Amino acid sequence: MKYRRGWIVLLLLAFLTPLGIIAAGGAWGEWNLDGIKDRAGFVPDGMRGSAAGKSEPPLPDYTVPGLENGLVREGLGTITAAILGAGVTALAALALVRIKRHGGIS
Amino acid sequence: MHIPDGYLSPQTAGALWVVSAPLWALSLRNIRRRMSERLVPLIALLAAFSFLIMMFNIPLPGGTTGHAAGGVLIAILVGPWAALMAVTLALAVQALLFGDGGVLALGANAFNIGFAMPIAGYLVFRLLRGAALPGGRRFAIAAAAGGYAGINVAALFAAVELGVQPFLHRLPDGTPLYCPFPLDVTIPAMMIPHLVVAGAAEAILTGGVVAFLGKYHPELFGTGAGGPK
Repeated sequence: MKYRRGWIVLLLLAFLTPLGIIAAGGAWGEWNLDGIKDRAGFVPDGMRGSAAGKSEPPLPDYTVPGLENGLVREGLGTITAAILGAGVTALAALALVRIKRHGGIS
Repeated sequence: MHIPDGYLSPQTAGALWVVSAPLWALSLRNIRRRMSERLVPLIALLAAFSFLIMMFNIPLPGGTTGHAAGGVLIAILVGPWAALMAVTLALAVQALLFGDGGVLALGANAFNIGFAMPIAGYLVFRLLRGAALPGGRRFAIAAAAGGYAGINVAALFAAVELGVQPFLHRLPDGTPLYCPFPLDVTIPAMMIPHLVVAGAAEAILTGGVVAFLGKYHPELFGTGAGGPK
């Protein structure tokens, strides 16, 4: 496999991702409707409409069903989400570049 | 910095799709025409790297969190056009699978984090790098400065896109329809933490990885540091 060491480093990173969710608080400007209400004092109409029409993503906030409660399970869920997400991202990149290069996946 | 859906008006989000779509096309064309086959798996690896690094949230002043994005590092290795595609794919997976960042807002987020960040950081890197070679101190410092500049440019774009919403879209009584915070709130709220902490994190990541790879794998910079012209 090309760049084998690079992939090993990524796997290590994936196993460390539970550290990345320890930090308290979320990113500025990425609150849900309750968070907006706390900070602005109201929920703007346009945001409400957008939230109503929004479908839940398969793995919201990098959680995996069945791996939500408890530190260890949550950590395993995060690692699973990390490996899955990184894998899908890499495969999408390979597919996209190869389709464009050869007119078909090779 | 991943703008969720609902914060930008459909008009703003749509406009940024219109800006980003041709950039994605240019990115693919550039990868297809100018990059050697051996770099294809490297681009996939770097896209996965970008996805992972954005999961490492660090506490920022003001009680919020942020993270590095890796866009400038990717641009230094494989050029800003390939960086755009790698980061866009990471953002798309984050939005579609994990609800991190909006789907309608993907055009905006890809422009900020996938385009503006790598291109700005790469330009700073090129400017400061001069004739320095991989493995040298100046090469790594130029990369660190590029990382610092890149993430702050991305944060500024996000802050402006959010902060113009109350001016662009409001009810007749003046109530904002989308992001309710104006520029004088969004710019300091985004920029102070990014200038102080997240920028430093991106600088350390970019400079550190470039220093390491420059020393042990200088061959990786054969195409990247020269960049696709």
